[in-house]
Amino acid sequence: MASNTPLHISRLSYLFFIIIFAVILFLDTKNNTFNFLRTAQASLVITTNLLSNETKKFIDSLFITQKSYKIKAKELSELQDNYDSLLASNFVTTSNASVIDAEANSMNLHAAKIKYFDAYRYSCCGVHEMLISASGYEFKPVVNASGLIGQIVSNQESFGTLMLLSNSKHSLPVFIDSVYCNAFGKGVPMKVYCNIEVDQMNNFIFPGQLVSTSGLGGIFPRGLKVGIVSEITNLGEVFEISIDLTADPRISPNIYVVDNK
Amino acid sequence: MRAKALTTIILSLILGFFLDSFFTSLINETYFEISLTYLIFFYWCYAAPQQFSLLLIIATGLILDFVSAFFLGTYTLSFILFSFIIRSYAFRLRLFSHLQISLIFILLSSIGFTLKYQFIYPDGYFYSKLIFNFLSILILWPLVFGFCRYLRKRYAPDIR
Repeated sequence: MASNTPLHISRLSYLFFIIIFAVILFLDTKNNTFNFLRTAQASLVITTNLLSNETKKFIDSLFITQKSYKIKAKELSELQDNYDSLLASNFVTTSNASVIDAEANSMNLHAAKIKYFDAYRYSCCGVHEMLISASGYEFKPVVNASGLIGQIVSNQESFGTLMLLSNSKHSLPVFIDSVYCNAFGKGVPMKVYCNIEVDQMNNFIFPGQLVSTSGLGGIFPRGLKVGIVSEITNLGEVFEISIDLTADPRISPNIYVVDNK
Repeated sequence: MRAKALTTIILSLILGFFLDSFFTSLINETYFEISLTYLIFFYWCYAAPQQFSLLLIIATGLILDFVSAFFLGTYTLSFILFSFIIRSYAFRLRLFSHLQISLIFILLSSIGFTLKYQFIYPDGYFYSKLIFNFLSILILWPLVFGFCRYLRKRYAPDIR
């Protein structure tokens, strides 16, 4: 379009609207006639601010809750680890304190975790073993927060194989009162058995009697609490003593290797 | 005019208003003011005199009056007045340089500024505002021109 071409503008309509809006403006400035529009705008702004603030707070609270949950879960886990460690340490130092104080004081507990445990095979099939995150401690005893649970029998790369006391291949020299016997597992969870010849049987062996390690064999320190006698069965030439183990290996993933140098 | 072009014009004016408020609050609300809204409005009158019709001008003015919570007609009345002047000379203005156009817009903006403050909000009238407004238009016109031209080419290519 040429630069000097006039653009068709209806001057009358312009004049009309100028007068109309001048009147509207005059009325509004003098009498606040259209104050409801400003009120509506203000309420719209306030509502929008409120909604955006509340949404922001909600999102922030979600984030903070998630964050604090993670922190609390971590703290709880650390607390559990410390508590287990204290209980295990307490078990080792108190259960054989009366027997060999000096030896108990020289024992170190190395913390480790259970990495693999087949609970089904533990219940059904007598294979009572665990993979733990500790290697290089072959034939060392292992405790958890509830007591003595077994010994490390081999190493597999960075893991160690822990054989539980109730394993059918495990054998543990114990004292029941003053009588020595070899407690062996039969693959029954939380139970070991001892065979005592008839002439060695005495009145001090009874259900409820404390059973502790004898220290013979050089692997388990003397005096560690193993369990209590639960049943005595006469098999003719021998008595079979059934012992309930004190320690449950399933209570916690935290275990401790006893390094009695 | 297509809805996209209409939306572009209205949104650019609202954006101009919010930028005005933002920059003014950043500097000093009492003594300084810039008129990006007017500049953007001038651009659309200047670049699309045929499409930017009177009804559309009234609609955008009313929307801005509502958004800014000013007295009803503050923007609308000044928009009608300015659009009448700019649309009357739209094609002749295209012969002028940017400096000349910005001087014309400064004059119009100063009239709008005076209308707004002298008659509607007399307590807020300061010469510092007027001078700052004058300088800001001189500096901002090329930027607004470039920005709105980009918007026009990108979102409203049918406006000529």
